[in-house]
Amino acid sequence: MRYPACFLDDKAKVLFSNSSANAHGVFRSDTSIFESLPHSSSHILEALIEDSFNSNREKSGQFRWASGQTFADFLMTVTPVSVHNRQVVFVTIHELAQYAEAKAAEVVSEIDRKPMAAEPLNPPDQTIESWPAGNNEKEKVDKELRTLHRLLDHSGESIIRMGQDFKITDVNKTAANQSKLLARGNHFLKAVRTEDQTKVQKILEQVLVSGKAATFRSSGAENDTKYSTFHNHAFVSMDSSSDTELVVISTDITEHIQLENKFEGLLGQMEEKNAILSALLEHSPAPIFIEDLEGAVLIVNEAALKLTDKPRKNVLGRKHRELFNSAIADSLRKDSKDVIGSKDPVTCEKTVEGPDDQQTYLVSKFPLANGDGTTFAVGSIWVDLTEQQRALCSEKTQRALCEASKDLLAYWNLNGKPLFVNRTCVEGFGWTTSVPSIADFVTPTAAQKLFKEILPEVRKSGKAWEGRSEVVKKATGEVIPVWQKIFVVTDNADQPLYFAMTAVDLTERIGAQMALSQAAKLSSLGSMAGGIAQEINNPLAIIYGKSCQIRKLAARGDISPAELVSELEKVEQTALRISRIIKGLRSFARNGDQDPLVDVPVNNIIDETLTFCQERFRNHGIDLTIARLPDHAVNCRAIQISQVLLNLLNNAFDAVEPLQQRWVDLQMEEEDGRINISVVDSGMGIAPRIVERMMDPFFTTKEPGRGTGLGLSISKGVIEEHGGSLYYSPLDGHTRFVLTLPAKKLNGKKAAA
Amino acid sequence: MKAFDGKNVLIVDDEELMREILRDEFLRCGAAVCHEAANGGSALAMAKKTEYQIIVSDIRMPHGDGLQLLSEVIKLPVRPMLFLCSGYSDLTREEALRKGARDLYAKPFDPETLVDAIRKSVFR
Repeated sequence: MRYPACFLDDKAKVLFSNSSANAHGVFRSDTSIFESLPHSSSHILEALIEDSFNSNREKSGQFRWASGQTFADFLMTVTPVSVHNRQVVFVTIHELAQYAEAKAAEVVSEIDRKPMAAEPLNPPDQTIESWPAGNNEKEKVDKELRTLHRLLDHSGESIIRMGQDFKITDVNKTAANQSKLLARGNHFLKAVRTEDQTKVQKILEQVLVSGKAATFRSSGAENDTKYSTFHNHAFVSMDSSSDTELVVISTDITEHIQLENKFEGLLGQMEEKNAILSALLEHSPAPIFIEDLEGAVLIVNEAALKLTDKPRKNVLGRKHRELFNSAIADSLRKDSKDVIGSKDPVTCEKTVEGPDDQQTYLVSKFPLANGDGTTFAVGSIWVDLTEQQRALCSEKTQRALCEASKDLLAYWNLNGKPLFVNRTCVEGFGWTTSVPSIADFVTPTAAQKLFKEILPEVRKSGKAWEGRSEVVKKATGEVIPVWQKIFVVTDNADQPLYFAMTAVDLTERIGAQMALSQAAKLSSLGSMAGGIAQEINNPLAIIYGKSCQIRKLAARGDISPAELVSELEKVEQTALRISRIIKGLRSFARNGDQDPLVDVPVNNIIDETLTFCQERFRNHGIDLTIARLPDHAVNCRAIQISQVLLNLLNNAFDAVEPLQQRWVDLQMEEEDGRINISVVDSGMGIAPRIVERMMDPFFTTKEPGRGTGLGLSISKGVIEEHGGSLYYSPLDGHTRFVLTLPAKKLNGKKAAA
Repeated sequence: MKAFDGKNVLIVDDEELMREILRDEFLRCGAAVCHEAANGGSALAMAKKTEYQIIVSDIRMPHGDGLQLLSEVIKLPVRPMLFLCSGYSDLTREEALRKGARDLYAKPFDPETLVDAIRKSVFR
């Protein structure tokens, strides 16, 4: 503008002044306008400004401004304006003389131009200056335009009009509010973000060229509305009276975009969650059903299909009664209703006919609610209890068996820490699992043997160990003999896990055994009674016979004293024979395990044994040959060794008696500091299956009632207690039993080892 | 005249003193010959060589018992009368007689009574 002009606020403070004002040095920003105006005119001008504000109309007034000696007349025009919703006034000052001229020229050139963007909805008479007055048609059109204008202004979209040079010709209120770059005269592209400008330009050029409308997105300029995104609709508007005009209708879709992104994000998250859920459902080994409020199946997983044994299409949408038997179905439906009603989960056991026989499940039903808390479905998860139950019952039973057993049952880990001891162990022996090692349960010797020999061997071979051992009763400290079986327990990969043992208290058994052994001896005695009777009868007959003869001769005086003496001596000797047999009997019957250990010449033992059985052999015509070893002794309880030897000889006797070839050979030899006594008989060996078991207690090949089968096992025990051994070893096909004992020289010194 | 005049007697028993007792008794009763054998085997051999009218044998002996002897002796051309002495209940008198023995006596016995019983049996 050629004339100084400025904007004032309602306090008459200069908001903005134009270059002309600056050039004249007037209307400095932030100062009161009156600083620049002559004081003399201030009251007029004040009133003018105030008037304009109050009436919201343009007001003009004249005033005189002196400059040095000269003065000129000026016209001040105050126009109320709304800029960004702010009421300000636009003040211009014209030198009157020049003003009229200029105004005329302006009017002419302003005929088609619309009011400035910064101007508010002009009161009707604002535009009177621009229009020739008194034209009714024009007024009508004008009114219509104004209404249209008002509509456009209030539209939520920004409407921008521009020329082919993209210079903005007009914008509506929304556009103006959107950006101050959308102003009349500005280049439209300047309101567009730099990186979009090229694109937008191309599009708009295309629109101009083709005449076709285009839709595009763009972002606002960085320094202005930089985060905003706009949806633009550009088209050409033809106005017959002017150049081609481009119109862009722009909608701020920033929020929309944000929502879109958010939505996509949420969608992505939802899809992920969905995928997870699906995977969980399908891979769950537990049957899962989701049903609607009516009980119709909405979702079902593989496991559930397997349970119902139906294809998916026959399960989805079906109700309980179509999938299960009526009793179960009704029960399930009731649970669902409870869940829906109470909104609480419900769990109970159900037994159904699964694809493979009856199975028990723990069915958990729970409500599924949406955002506002309304239940829209019921879910159920079925946990298979069958295996668990069976295992539990089985375990329970096995446990009960374990606890009820009178044997000692226990197991411990590979380090010897006890993990389980059954009731018998606890109550009878005072054992607990709170001790660090099973060594606590046994004697030190037994513990030694256990850890150094038995356990390593069992672990290595994987085979069980069975044998006699000793354990301790914790309460009394008593040492109890047991028959123990120890074996290793492996895991599923065949790796050793635990050692386990069963042990039988032998105390009773040993007592029983001893009683039985006595009984065995007595029963042997019984079976030998016949033989013994026979053996005694011969000498007896001799004594009787001789006595009769002597008596009669003496009665007749037919016997000399010398003859008498001689005869009586024979009688005596024969009587002694009987005596020896009786003695032998007595020793045999006696239990010698309390006798002291003494050095006994082997021959003595042999003789003692023979006095007892030699007669029998003779009477049955069985050859008994003896090869003696003089000068050797053993440290022992003679009675016990003699009994063992007798047992072997009796066995041999029984073996050969029915045979054609009948002989028994008693041999002796010394070897490596040990005496080996062999009893060989004419029998042709023992069958392997009998050999395996013949040293076992209670094993016998004799008929019931004949023999108790204790002989060999007890004999073996006795010999082992003496530090010797008893074993079967055939010789040349003949049955032979060998009894070995540590030897001693008769002069008291041990035999050379 | 003694009871066993002219009779050959064979005594079979593995007990020496028993043989002595019986021998003394038979000789006192006038037996012509009184031989002894310790077992059935040697007894048979002797019986084949010498004709014995009377054999007195124990039953239980090693190396051939009295019953075996009996079964052999009854086959001899001149069959001697065989008397068995039993120390135990080996068999009953009826069984012994069935087997061909002349009689069966139990031990212990009074030798005089035994020999007398034999005499009665022989001279019946």
